[in-house]
Amino acid sequence: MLVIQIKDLTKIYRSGAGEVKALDHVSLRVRKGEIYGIIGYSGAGKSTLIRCVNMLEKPTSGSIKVNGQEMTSLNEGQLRVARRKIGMIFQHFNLLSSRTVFDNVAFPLEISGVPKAEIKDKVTRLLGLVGLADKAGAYPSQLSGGQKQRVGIARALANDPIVLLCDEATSALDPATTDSILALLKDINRKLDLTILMITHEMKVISEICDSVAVLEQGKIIEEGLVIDVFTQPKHPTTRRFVQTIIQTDIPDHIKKPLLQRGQGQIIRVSFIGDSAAEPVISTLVKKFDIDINILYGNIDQIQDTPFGMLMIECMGSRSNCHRAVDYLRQLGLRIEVLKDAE
Amino acid sequence: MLNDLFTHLTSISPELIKASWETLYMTVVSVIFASLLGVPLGVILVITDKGHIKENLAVNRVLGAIINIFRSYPFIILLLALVPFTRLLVGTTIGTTAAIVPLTVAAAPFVARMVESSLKEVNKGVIEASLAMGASTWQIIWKVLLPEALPGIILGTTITTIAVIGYSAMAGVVGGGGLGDLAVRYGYMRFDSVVMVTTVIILVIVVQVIQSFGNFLANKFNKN
Repeated sequence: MLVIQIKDLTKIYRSGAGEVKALDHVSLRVRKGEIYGIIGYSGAGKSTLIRCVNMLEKPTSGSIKVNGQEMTSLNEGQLRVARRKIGMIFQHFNLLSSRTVFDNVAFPLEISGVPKAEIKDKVTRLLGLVGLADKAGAYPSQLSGGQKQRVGIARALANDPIVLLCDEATSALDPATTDSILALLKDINRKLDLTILMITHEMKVISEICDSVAVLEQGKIIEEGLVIDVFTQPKHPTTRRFVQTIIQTDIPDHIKKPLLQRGQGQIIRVSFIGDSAAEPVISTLVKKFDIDINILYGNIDQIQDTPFGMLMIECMGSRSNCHRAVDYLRQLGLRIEVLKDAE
Repeated sequence: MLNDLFTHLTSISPELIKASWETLYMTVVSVIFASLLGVPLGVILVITDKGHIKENLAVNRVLGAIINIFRSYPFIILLLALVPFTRLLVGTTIGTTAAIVPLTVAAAPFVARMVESSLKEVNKGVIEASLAMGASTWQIIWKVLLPEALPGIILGTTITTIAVIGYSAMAGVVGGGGLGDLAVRYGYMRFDSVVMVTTVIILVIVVQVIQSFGNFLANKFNKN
């Protein structure tokens, strides 16, 4: 089931000087229960995109459906009701400084006209969920950044939203706090089966908790797919740059060059994903094809629960044997790149 | 010598007490009315501004211009210019109650600008968050803007109150009485420096007390 369905969304900002196309025919679908990440450099249009979902920004054209409801055609009153079911957390938390933690979480419930007694129960439960039961009476200024974001999360969950929008939710936090907030989001996603749409400029955030990812550049989605696919086989150069900020998919040039010059055999690069990473491929090659294998370079990484890695090996033996070895690897479903043919 | 001073003070003390009450009455009532007018005006100035929750630049510019016109009048002129309006409103143009009308008219735009600058300090992100939660314009005004800006509004009201005490010294022109009037009649016209000094001392104390109280309240509500 689709929770968010965006079609041909375009947003143009007009100012005296001219116009800026912030979003250019963006389409995406977010399935129920998934964590969907949108990554891009600053100015790519991420902020505009996530704000269009709850109509904080009015799209110039296109369609946005949340839980099947077309957001662009709602009037003001209908929009207010629809927004109650779309939670949102922010980079700078945006808590009310004049209210205690308890009253901040109670705020969206007050707005929806929930009775006092019910508010008390609900807020107490939510503060327990985010681990802030003992801070109910504190004011935001007395909290750390991570605690403030926990309050923000509890507040966003108050009206039992069908989707949670995260606007750079961890960008103002230190790495350790970022990890704990991401873990909390993942936990909530599993416990409540809550769909999450997040924007970020940090690939780490995507790799740690997202199921799907879209890469946004100059208002366009340039690549999209499951995180494991995009990470192991990035197609667009920008995506590759993002992926390389956290994992090594390429062999660094200063390592690759001398190896290519020195080696005499066939040099190939083998990429593994998931289960194939655990198979004894190298020893099979040696036994089966009567060649010697020299491991030149390798690494292994993990995205969420899927291990993946890369090996650069040199096959030494007869040319035909080497070629047969490569064919064999391809048949196993491994991704092979021949960097240098056998001499 | 000291004895003379004491006798003199005793003889004018009924006048001093009456004048103090008049000043207090004029100030408090004017500030209350000015706030009732000025706070909504300040709110309208802010929410109709560019990029705010009820952007309406026409309303914003016109209201801003009217407020500026009232703020540019010297109080003594406003006091006289408003005589017909005062008669219409309270049925008389002289006395303490009559002085309240021009004081209110002079203070309201002052309050409006004070409220405006306090509300503009409210974090835009908090307003965005409230909109995202489905808050209505009223809810944002009552539950977000005014509570978040309360410390600033309290300090602004303190400043307004002290300014109104200053204006009220001119109320004697329309027979409004008050400490300023007493100082003019005794101290200036009859060269009675004892009365002059005494009224000044009372005013200094009143201003100090109001400012301290305002600071105390503002701190109490400031949770930053």
